[in-house]
Amino acid sequence: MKVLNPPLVACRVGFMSLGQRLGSSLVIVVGIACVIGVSLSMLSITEGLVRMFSAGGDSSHAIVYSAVGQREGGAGLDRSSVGIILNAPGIAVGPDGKPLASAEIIESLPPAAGFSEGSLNLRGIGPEGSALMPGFKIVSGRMFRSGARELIVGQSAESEFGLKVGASVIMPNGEWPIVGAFTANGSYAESQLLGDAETVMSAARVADYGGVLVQLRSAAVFDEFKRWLTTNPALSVTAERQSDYLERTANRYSSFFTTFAYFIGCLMAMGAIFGSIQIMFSTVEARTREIATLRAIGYGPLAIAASFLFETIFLSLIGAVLGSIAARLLFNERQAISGDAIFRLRISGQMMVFGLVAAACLAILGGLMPAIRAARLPVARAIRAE
Amino acid sequence: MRCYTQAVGPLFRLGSRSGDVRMKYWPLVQSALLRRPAEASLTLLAVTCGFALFGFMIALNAAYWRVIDSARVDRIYVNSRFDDPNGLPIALEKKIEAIDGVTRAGAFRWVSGYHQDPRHFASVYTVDGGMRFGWSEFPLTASQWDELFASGTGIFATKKAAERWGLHRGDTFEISTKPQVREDRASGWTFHVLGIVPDDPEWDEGVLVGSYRYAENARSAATRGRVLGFRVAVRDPARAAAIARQIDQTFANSDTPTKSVTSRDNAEAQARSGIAIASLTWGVGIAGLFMIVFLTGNSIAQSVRRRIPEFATLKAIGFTDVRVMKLVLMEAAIPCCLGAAVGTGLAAAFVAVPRRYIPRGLLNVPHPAVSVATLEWALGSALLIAIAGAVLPIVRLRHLNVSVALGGRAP
Repeated sequence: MKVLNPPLVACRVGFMSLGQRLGSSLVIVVGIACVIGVSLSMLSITEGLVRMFSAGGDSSHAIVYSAVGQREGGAGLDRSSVGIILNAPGIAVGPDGKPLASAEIIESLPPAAGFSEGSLNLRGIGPEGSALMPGFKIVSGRMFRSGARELIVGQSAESEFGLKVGASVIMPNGEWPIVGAFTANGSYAESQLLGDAETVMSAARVADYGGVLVQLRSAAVFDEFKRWLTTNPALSVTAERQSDYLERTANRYSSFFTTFAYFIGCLMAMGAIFGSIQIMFSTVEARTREIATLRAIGYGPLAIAASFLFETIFLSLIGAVLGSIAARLLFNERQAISGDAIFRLRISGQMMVFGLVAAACLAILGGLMPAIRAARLPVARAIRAE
Repeated sequence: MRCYTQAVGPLFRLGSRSGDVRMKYWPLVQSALLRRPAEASLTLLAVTCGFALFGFMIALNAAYWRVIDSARVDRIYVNSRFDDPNGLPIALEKKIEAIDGVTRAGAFRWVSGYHQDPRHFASVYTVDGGMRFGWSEFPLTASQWDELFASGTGIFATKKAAERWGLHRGDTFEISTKPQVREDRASGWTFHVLGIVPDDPEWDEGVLVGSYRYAENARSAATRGRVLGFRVAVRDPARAAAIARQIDQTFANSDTPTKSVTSRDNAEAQARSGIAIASLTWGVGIAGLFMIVFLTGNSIAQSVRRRIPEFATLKAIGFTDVRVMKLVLMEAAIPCCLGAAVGTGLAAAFVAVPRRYIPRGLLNVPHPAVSVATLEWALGSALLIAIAGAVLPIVRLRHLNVSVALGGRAP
């Protein structure tokens, strides 16, 4: 004889009557779909920002910048300081014997109409600059020539600001043509225009660099490299691994959205939990005779409680799947801009799994009390219930 | 039928042809609402959470619009077109003031460095006399402006800035810069706090305001005579955009081209350039309401389904469909409106949380304020939700077969 698992049988009985409770079941599904959908949509901003910033990071790259500015492009580094930095130990050298480093400058350009000041940046890079960008690739046109008044545009900036190859950008000393478009693993650099650092500095009448990006021989030499720079009395600089620097920058951009997403998610989740408890209590009431019958023919209180809990989890998971799919269809890979960072919203598979787990937890919180009540129903009285 | 008789009793005792109809209905509604206090409380809690979210979103949305709406329409920001680190010559101030329609122009320049530790970036926003007009919304009295320009090293700190640096009236505030910044090669700037003034919404983290003349006289001779930008007051707000274009045209072919934008356009561009918080708040708020509609609708539907015989009795003794509809609507509206009021109160409590307890990530948004308008929005939405939730049960009751329902059979 086939032995049936009591909780499974109790669950099956419950599921068979779901059709009669379609309205209330739908409320749980919709409630959880709203919670998970909204939370994932908000978190897609954080995920997109983090993906963009981490795409450009490399732990064997280091950024050196002024100790006062505390960031790349802050207070300037004069040429003599850059010369000293390039002699620091640990910097990798190229086939020509020159250090693999790029002294860079970031200049803000007047953006297209409708965008705020500071949303479009031009990065002046050294001859090794493009080699230090992971995944750098010219996708249309050509690379700018060193010393020429030419620019190339990142794909994100191209689509956001409409800066096409062949167009030109007004600079202080005239119009500079955009001669190419590039990608760089979807990194922050794609939000910018690139040009030759020396030519950009000359046009902008700037004497100091904003920072120096260097390729280290290995990630392990960073500490020694940093110590040499920060203890050098001729310098007032600090160094940071590029990956750490970009992570810090990403957090600066995304902390608001992360906090906002969790705040909203928690508030909505509380509403959904109260709603689930109320609905499941009603379900217990509607199924009183059914529960009593199961108990009378030998099913234990644990099986009854499990069936209620499984039902809540089942409905919540349906809601979570619907909410995740809706959020993914609406927002995944949509381009967005935050300050000067152009990025694509992202709802990853991992986030969707997180949504399912969160929904299951909410279901347990919402279904536990009704499940206990169902398990503790007095059989003799319940079986006579109308 | 115990509850029914309890409820109907007062109806006949209190009611009269000329009596208050709402008073007659109240015992019925009350008994329906309080019959299952646990369920009613859970529904109320869920609705309250939904409206707390909705209220917060409305308040945040309003805060963004407040920033835009509060932007002066009679003011233009003039900056270097290409973000020139040397800024613009102070001489442009007189040329801008000579343009038809300009009232006055105020210049500004930062004294930037660090306070005590190189990691503690600090700056003082030094301004000249034209700022009395160009930045007239800054909460300084005429005598305080006089005091600022007369004192030289004096600064006024807004509340947030004073909190950040722990400043009080009479304190000194040191900023360290590179020695070459000052003519005397000193690396420190010592300012004296003249007073703490209310915050200006333009500065999220507060601002320290000093005198441009004093800072200029202390700078190295080679770097004097420059400003970072101007705030220009114009006579006719309707002409502000045209005057901004005229300013840019005037200096377009000069060594220092300008980029001029009205305060209002600047505020709108900033709101559009970031993630569209305003539309996000609506999206989230509507998702919250959507959840409440389903919950309330289900709750009312359940309540009506359980009390079909009672409604049949009411109809049998002469209650019209309209009266029954009013009863159901009130049953739906009361928890919704109560939840809206309590939820909006909770939202008000959230926004009243002192800044030091707010997660750092949320500090950069305009501070939301829950107003009477927020409550009105919430109550209006609550009524709409109640109507939406009550529609199906009302339709069901309209088609109720009284004899079948009274016979105890499913209608």
